[in-house]
Amino acid sequence: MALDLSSMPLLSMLKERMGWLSARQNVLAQNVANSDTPGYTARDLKPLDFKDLLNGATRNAQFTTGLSATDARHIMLKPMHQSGDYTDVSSPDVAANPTGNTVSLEAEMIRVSDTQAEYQAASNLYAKAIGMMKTAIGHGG
Amino acid sequence: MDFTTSLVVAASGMRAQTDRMRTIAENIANANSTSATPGGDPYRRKIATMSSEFDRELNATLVTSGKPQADNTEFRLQYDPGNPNADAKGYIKLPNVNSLVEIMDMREAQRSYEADLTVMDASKNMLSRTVDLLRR
Repeated sequence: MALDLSSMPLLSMLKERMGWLSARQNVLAQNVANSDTPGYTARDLKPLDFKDLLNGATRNAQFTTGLSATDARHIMLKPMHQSGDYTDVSSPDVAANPTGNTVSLEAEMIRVSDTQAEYQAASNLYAKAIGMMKTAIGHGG
Repeated sequence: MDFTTSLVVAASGMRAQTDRMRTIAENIANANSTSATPGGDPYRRKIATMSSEFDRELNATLVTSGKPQADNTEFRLQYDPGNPNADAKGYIKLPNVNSLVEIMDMREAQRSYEADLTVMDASKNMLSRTVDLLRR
């Protein structure tokens, strides 16, 4: 079995987490940019479900080592959790002000720093996991 | 979906707030601009407008500033018979600019601009964190 970093459950889960945080940052940027736009409703991503994530991570590993498509007409087995398809739902921070805008800059700032801290945690864990692999290879310190 | 999108969105917000600041600056600068002809209308206050716009390429909602619109409230009247531009009754029309309102607007634009800057900073930080993974 070839060593595929993305087939390791830990790394693929972290990758998923970082992808989700990145997408959330994107949604928050849109909220802040539109904080003075009349009629704009604040949005946020649906939280990641750990169970789905775990299922996706372990299933993906089986599939990547399981069936391989050798012909264009072969049907690939889809992984359980398709990465990158995060849905954003409307989540007003405050009751709409007279212009119909529901963005609260304070709430958005908290979410932004929260996302940033979580991303930092995930990327630190990722670096740690790579470091552990390097230790196993014999280059770690 | 990457951090550059967040940066572009935040930048669009900053651009819109800059345009709004320009309109506010025009209003404050012209707070006492009277008409050049007797009995004519003075400077009319402008209102900055903003609207959200979906960018298909980025798959994100950007914000754009629209054309500034005229404020149709009444002009202020001041009794100043010595003014060469006063009307027959000695009144002169002053712009419908209230500097307190303008200053409030300015603070709001500044606050939104700072929020955009914070988002940009956070996104940049996250991006550089990711790049740092390559250094290990």
